[in-house]
Amino acid sequence: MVRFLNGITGNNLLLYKVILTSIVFALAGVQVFFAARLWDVSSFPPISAASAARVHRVSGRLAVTLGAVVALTCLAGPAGPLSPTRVLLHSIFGTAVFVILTVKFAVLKVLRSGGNALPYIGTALFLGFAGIWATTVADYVTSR
Amino acid sequence: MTTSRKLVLLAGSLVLGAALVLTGVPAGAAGGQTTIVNFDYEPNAQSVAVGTTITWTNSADRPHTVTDRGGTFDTNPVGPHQSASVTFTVPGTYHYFCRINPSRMNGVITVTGDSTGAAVNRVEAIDPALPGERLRFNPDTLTVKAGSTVLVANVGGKPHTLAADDGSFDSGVVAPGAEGGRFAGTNASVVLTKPGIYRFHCDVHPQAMTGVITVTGPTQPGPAPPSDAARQTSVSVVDFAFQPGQASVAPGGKVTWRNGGDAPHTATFDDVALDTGTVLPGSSASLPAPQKPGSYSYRCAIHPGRMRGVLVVLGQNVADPTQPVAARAQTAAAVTGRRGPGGALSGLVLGTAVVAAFLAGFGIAMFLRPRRRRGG
Repeated sequence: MVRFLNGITGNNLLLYKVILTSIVFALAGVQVFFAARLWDVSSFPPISAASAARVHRVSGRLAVTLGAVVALTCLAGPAGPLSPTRVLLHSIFGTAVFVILTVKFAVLKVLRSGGNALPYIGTALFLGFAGIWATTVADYVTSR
Repeated sequence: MTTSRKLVLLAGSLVLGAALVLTGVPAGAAGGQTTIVNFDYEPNAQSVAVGTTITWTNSADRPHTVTDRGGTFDTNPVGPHQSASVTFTVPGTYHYFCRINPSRMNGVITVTGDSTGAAVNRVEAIDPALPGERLRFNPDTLTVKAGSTVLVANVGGKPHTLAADDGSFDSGVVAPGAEGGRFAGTNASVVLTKPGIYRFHCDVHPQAMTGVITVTGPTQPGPAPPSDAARQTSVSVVDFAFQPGQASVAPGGKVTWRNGGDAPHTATFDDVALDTGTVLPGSSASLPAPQKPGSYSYRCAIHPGRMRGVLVVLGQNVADPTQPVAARAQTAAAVTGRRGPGGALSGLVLGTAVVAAFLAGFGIAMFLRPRRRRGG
């Protein structure tokens, strides 16, 4: 599997993962930014709450899709999951993100209550993505 | 088109643009044979004749090393699209690995040659630290000429020795690599001077690890410990420093200190009884280097606080720490004239992170703001 992924990326699998992870991290920031607008706690950007909700939804789906792609390559990859410490932390953050996502969808689609918790869930999600970024991309960039 | 659609399109364009810019950055991929990939060597088992130079080219996107588990060579990290070479002058089997990915990247090279004509032959001490292996010497049967050296390389995870049953020779304990052999072990040498048939064993595992060495030819006095280092070297003494501060020489080699300063100096060793005595300005003094490989510190006894130096006595196949890295690294930039992705990637990735942190920080602050008002 790793050889296949290396092959289709021209032996630049990690570079592609770094790019995708950075995009996902940026989208996580976009999510929080537009969530503040759709919750009407911010008047910026100057668009309607409904428009902000649509942007939030689209960028969220894009982030989850790209994140899932990266996660699959991680699961198929040769590293970790428990050693070294950086990879252990990365595994924890990665797992946490998908657990938090599950909780968020449960709140939104199943429970249909507890909406007041969504800002906290969103913040935790962003911090999870930040942890993923810090334990991989930052290491990758600084090691070059 | 609504404002939100414009924003979505704008965001999508930015994402796609960033991806195109990043993936369009020259990766420095050069043509040629791939020998290191994430996370393997291709091929990872090969047989070559003695004297062959093997070049490893890293086509992966992470640095890797090619390191002898027996401690005789180490390319140090070979960056993406760089290469490193090692010339194999001693017959034997070489288990090697990547120091950065020690469990995943392993290979073996068999260097074939006439052991009876070789000045040095390699015997590996192997144990179950290598997957699928057992306690054994490789080879366990060897014919060498009198006066030649047997280099015992511990590529396993336990201490081993190579000692003659009749006490004719003994390598002493050859330490294994750190973490039970996960990393590179060490090596030792024994010189076989008298012809005969010698049964040998490992003192630590005398039942499982045995072998026979046949020594042929006339009795030899036994050479000095083999070394690739210079047989003599010189150090300039100035007011108030040794130049170079670190010099290397073969065991027993000649070291000369030349005083080019205006003050008298000495070269007085800290741990061995070697001392040039006072070397007057314009004169020089020589000493024989210690026979035992290692690093020896010395000082000027007249100016001990200001003048210190190190003499490195190099054993066989030991990388010279006073010289640049032995691996002949050749960057892709030198080959293709193109830059790698490091700098541009760093900037864009870090920029992305700053933007993400700013957006999220703004959003989180907005969520917190009404709460503070309510609290106030």
